[in-house]
Amino acid sequence: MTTKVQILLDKVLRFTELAGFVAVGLMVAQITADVLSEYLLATPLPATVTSVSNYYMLVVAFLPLALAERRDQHISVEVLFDHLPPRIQRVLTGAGYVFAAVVFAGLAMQTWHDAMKKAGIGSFMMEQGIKVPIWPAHFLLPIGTGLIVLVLILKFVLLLRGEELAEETDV
Amino acid sequence: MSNVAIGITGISILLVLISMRFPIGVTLIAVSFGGLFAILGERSAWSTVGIVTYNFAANWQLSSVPMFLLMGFICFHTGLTKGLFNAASLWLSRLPGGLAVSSIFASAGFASVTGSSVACAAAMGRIAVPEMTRHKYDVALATGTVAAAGTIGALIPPSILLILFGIIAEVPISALFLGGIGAGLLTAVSYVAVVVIRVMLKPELAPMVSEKVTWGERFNALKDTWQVILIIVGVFGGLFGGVFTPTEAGAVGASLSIVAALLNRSLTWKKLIDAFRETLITSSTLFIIAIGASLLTRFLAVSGAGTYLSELIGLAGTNPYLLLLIITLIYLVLGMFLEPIGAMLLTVPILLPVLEPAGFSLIWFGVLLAKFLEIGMITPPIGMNVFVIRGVVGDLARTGTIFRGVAWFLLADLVVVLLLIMVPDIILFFPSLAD
Repeated sequence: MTTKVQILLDKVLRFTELAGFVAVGLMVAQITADVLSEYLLATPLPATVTSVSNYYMLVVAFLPLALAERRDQHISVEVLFDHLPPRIQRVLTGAGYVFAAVVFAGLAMQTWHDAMKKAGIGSFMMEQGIKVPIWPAHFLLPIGTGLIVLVLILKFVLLLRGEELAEETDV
Repeated sequence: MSNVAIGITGISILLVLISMRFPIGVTLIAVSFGGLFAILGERSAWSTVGIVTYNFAANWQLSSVPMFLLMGFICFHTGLTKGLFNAASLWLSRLPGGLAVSSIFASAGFASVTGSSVACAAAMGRIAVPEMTRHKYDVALATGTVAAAGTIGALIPPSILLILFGIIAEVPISALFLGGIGAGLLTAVSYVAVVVIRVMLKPELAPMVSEKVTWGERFNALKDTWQVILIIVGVFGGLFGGVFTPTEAGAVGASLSIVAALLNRSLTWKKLIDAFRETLITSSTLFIIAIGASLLTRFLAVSGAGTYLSELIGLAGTNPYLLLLIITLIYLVLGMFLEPIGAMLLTVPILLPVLEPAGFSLIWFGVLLAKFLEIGMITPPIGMNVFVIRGVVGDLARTGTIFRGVAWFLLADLVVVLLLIMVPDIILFFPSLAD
């Protein structure tokens, strides 16, 4: 059961990574093109600031959270932890997963609520006279924080069973 | 419970949870939420968390972080350091400890395309340490030099530390970058002095390189540094000339580094994907902490704990040097144990209310803070740069040996910190030119 869940989750995470690559790539390309266009042709590209800040940045900030958890890359302080007996380390690790899962679940709920509200009013931004809808971007927050909750739950279940996450399959 | 008491309790809970290895970002968010809940009530706490989380990330200025990270990772993976080190060693090999001196100069050069000291140390460690050991350099000297020289990476712009400080403390990033130049160069010069003096006193540490080098070869080697020069001119010319915003400078730098690597035929798909992958993970793990720090700032402001702490520290006397001494000691201790960006984001919200009334320039303080945190990268027991060099050189040197080599540079760092405090113009000179 857990292996199936894990394979499925890894597929989803793979997709978020791909979305992240696209966002970073577009960020570089669009800002560079904007700079060139502004200084060579004296006309900036439309909606660069809005799309970078409200779309690409949100993808970069929230979608890889789950992937970082999957790869144990979140930043924590290990000085004291490393000197504790293994049994206590296990308890703290488990408590840490539950704690983080609860916090991210709260964040997912609140940002979902916000996103639904923004979708209801169809929120947008004006840049150089162009109307750029930004409400869809609000959904990136509950998606990213929701995914990391799933990873944390999986890690907690595996910890209880004394198992570990399997290696990621590289594609 | 008074609001101030809630604030102080919050900080204490925060420290306990973080020392239990709970992730820093999540813990900051949870504690700030709890505090806001207790002071402002349920509705405001929830809505603040939602709004701050969105608004902090959806930020044009903050997008300079992934851009500069990408530029640094691409330069790192495509081996831009090699040309720098070769050129430096051809020019400087006749000096006592010439190869070690070269690795410091090359690190300072690489620092201008990367914002991270770990990347700087790792890149230089791969190239310079084998070269030094080939010439029978003392292992502690060779490894210690590159570990220490890596710290220049976060001082000379770009610097991820300085960008995040600028956003949290609301200080212009380009001014911080300009301030970082003085501190970075002074650090480089002081490290060179350490190497030269040590080798003069004890020549067997670093035997003179006997190969004859012609002037033609020297000038020829400069050609291999063109990518770095292109990026420096393109990125910082634009940024400090007031043409680019930091985000634009970062994006142009990332583009230039890709173009330079393509022209150089050193870019492969794998390297590009690795650079993108590291950019994503590093950005998102930093941002979640920064979001937490931003929430903590709100919570401390609402609770009045920030003002309380500043009054408490104010009791220690109105002498700014005493305040700085306290801050220096706090950071030297924190730096021993904490990862620098986490340490900065954790402490700046608490310190800002103390610093502003004391009349310190926040540009100056931001750079000094970066210097403190970078010292933490090479102090035991947790010295990230030392661990990275240990990983790069394999069985050549034990961690203890590298720390022993680093010790001499720590002495230089103490002198540098003292100079930065006594002569603030070392930091403030370049920013003042821009005004």
